Amino acid sequence: MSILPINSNIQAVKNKKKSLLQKIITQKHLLIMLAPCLIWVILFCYTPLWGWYLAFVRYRPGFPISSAPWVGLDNFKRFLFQSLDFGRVIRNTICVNILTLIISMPLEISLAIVIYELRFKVYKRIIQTISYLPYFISWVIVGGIFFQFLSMEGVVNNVLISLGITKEPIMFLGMPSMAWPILIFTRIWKNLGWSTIIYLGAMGSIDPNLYEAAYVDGATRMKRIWHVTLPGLAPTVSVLLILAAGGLISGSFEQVYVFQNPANMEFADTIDTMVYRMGLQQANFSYATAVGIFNTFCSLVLIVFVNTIIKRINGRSLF
Amino acid sequence: MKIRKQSHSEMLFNWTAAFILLILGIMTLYPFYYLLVYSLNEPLDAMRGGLYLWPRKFSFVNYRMVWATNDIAGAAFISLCRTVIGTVMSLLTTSMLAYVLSRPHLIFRRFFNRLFVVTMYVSGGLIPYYLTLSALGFLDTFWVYIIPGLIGIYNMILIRTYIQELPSSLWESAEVDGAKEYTIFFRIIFPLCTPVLAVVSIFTAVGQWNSWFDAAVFNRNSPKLWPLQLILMNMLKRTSVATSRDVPLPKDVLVTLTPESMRASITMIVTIPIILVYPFFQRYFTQGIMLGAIKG
Repeated sequence: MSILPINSNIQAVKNKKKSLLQKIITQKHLLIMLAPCLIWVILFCYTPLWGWYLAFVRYRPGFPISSAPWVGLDNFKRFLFQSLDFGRVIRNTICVNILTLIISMPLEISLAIVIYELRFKVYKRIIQTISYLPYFISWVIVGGIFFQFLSMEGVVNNVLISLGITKEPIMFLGMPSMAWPILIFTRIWKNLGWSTIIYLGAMGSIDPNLYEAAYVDGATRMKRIWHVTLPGLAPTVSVLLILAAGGLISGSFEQVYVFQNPANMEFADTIDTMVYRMGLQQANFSYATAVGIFNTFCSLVLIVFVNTIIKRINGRSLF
Repeated sequence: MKIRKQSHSEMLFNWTAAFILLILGIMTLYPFYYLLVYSLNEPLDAMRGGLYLWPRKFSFVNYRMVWATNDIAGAAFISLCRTVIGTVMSLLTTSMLAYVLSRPHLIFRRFFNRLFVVTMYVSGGLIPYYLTLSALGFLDTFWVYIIPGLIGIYNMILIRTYIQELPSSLWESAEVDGAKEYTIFFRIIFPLCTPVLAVVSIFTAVGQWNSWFDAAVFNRNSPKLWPLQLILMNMLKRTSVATSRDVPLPKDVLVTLTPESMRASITMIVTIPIILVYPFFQRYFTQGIMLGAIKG
C-alpha cells in the first residue's frame, strides 16, 4: 500500500513536464465535461455582448442590423441630456433604495436583538420560520396580496375609515405620492424576517466572555445590549452598508414592475422597467440598449469601488 | 450565562420580546390569510368591504370560475415541469462545472474560472439577450425556461468551494483504481456534496417556480407555455388601477365576478404550493444564507 502514493507523486512530476497537447490528452475527460458549459457560456453570456453594437446605431426592428446607420453616442446623449427619463428613473431608483435601507436596517437590527434575547425557544423558532416565508414568494404574489390589502374595499381602507382618519377610501395604488411608501413598505415586509439571519449569525460570534464580564459588573440586559451586542454588530453593519452602496442603482425590476401603473409612473419607474418598456414594448431597441449599457457600466463602477473599499478595510477583497 | 435570576425586569423584557415577535408573526401571516378569506367570499359581497377574519358569504365560486376561465391546470403543469426539469438539469450542469473548475491541475484553470465568474457582473442587457435568444431559435419554446439559465454562477461558486474542502485523498485512491474523471464526479463527489446540493436545488426550484419574466418576454405569443405566475401577473396588470369600482366585469361569465376576487383566488392558487412545501424545506432555506456567508 505504501508504494502507491509515491507512484502518484511520480505521475505528478511527469505531468508538469508534459506539453500542452499531452496535458489536453490526459485531461480529456475533464475537458469533455467542460465543453458543454463553455458552449453555454459563450452562447448565452458572451454572444449577447455583440448586441451592444445596437446602442451606437439607429436600429429599427424588421430591417437588417447591417443597414442601420451609425449614430455614435447619440442614443446615450438622448438618454442623459435630452430626455426627462434620466433624472426621473435615477431619482426613483436611488431614493427608494436609500430610504429602504435607512428604515429597514434599524428594524432588522432591533428585531434580531429581540429574537436573540428571547428565552422561549420553541415559540421563537416558530415565529422565525414564519417570518422567512415572504422571502420565498414571488413579487407577483406579493403584488396580488397587497393589491387586495390596499384596494378601495381592502383592510387598510376599512380600518382607516372606521378609525375616522379618512372619510373616503384612499386609492393607494393609483396615487403617485404613495408609490415610494408602497415600494419601501413591501420590500421591508418581504425581507425583514430573512435579513435578521445575518445579524443573528454575527451575534452568535460575539465572545460570550464579554457578556459574562458585563453581567458580573452588574450591567442590566439593556446595558449589555447597548455596550456589547451593538458594538459587536458594527463590522457586519459596515459591510452590509458598503454592499448596499454597490447596489445603489440596481432596482428590483419585478417589484417595481408589479406596482407601477400609468397613474403612478412618475414615481414608480426605474432604469430596468424603462429598458423593458422602451425596448420590448415600444421596440425602441437602440435606445433601450444604450440605457442598459449605461446601467451595467454604473453598477460595475460601483462594485469595483466598493470592492476597493472592502479591500482597504478587511485586507482581502470580496471577489 | 448559566446563572440567571428571573428578576422583574427580566420577565418584563421576555414578555415584551415575545409580544413583538407575535406582532411580526401576525404581520407576516395576516395578508395571506386575508387573501384567503377574500377569495372564499362571494365576490359581490366582498366588494362591500369589511372583511377581516372570516368570509361573510362563503363560496367557492371564485375558484371554480378562475379554473374555468383560465387554463390553470395547463399553467400549473408548465410551472411544475419547469421547476422539476429546470432544477434537475441546472443542478447536474452547475455541479459538473463546479467539479471541473475545482480540479487543481486543469489547464487554463484561472482563465476558465474568470470566464464564468465575470458573467455575474457583465451582461449584454435585456435587448441584446432577447435578440440572441431569438437568433438561436429559443423564442416560443418551453426550453427557454431551462437552457439559457442552466448554470447558476453563484451556485457554482458555492459548490466549487464545497468540493475544494473535501479531502484530496478521495481523488488519490480513485485515480489509483483507474477511475475516469466523470466516474469520480458522479460516483464519489456528487453524492458527497448532498448538503450543498440540497440548498442549491431548493433555491433553484424556488426561482423556477417564481419566475414569469422569461415567459412574458420570450414566450409572449405562446399562452400555452405560460406558467402560473405569468397568468397572475397578467391579471394584476389588466386590473392594475382597478382599485376603482368602475372596471367592467367580464361579460362572458354568468355568475357576477369581480376582477379583485379572481385576482385573489389566483394569488392563492399560486401561493398555496409554496406554503405547503415550505415547512418541510425551511431548514435548507436557512442553511443557504449561511453557505453564502462563508463564501463572503
